[in-house]
Amino acid sequence: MKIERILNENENKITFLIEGELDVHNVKALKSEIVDSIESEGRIYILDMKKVAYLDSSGLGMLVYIKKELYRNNSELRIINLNNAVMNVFKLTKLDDYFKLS
Amino acid sequence: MRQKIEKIVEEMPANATCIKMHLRSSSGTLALIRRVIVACVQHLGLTSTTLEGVKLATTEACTNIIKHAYKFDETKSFDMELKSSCNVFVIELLYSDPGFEPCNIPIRNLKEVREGGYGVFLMQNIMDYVNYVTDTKTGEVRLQMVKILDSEKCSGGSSENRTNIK
Repeated sequence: MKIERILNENENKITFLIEGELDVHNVKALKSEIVDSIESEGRIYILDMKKVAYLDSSGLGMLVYIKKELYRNNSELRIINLNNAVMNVFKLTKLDDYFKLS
Repeated sequence: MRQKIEKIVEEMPANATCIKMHLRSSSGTLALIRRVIVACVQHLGLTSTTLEGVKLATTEACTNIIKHAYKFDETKSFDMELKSSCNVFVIELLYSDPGFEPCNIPIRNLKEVREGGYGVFLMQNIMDYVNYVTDTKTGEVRLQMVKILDSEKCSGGSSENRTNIK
């Protein structure tokens, strides 16, 4: 799995471009990468999932954890560019509302 | 419905396609398992929705074995068997988990957002049949998951073996 981080300090945004499959084998790396980047409050964290081909319950659990962590830090998580198969996992678990996915 | 599915599986033709795999209990094997599932389901000419669903349910089941039954112990292993005929796709997983009680699997309340507990929910939601059989003497667990296939999408096998369960 590849993770590229793009920081936009002017807008206090940090974008993670994720590439690969989010299963139990890979979630730990992504979780560490994001949690380690939590610094200033009020930052917007964007997960660009355009190149995420697969996500399962391990990935969902990690995203729930990160959203809660960011909320505690007065920051915000936005998940963008989901393919249909990945979006369907959010819908099946009714987490699309929780993550405010359109 | 469950009885009908059990009958369909029981009556699968003897020459149904069958793939058996002996897998190391490593999270690194999950990607391999998904590749095999994709190859099997694509061979049957099924829709991408069915393909993604079967791939997800199988990964969830294998993840539970690796994570909960074997606690990431890579010295352990489990068996997976994929069987398909024209109207049905069956996944069987055989592993050891002494003390496992299927009736103790909690029912997931989706109104409560938590970090865990979605795996079995997804398996049950995607597959038409999910059944655990445990042997209390040996600790052996056999998980069987069945997906009934849309016969119109089915390109393989004989139409004579198709059973309409609707």
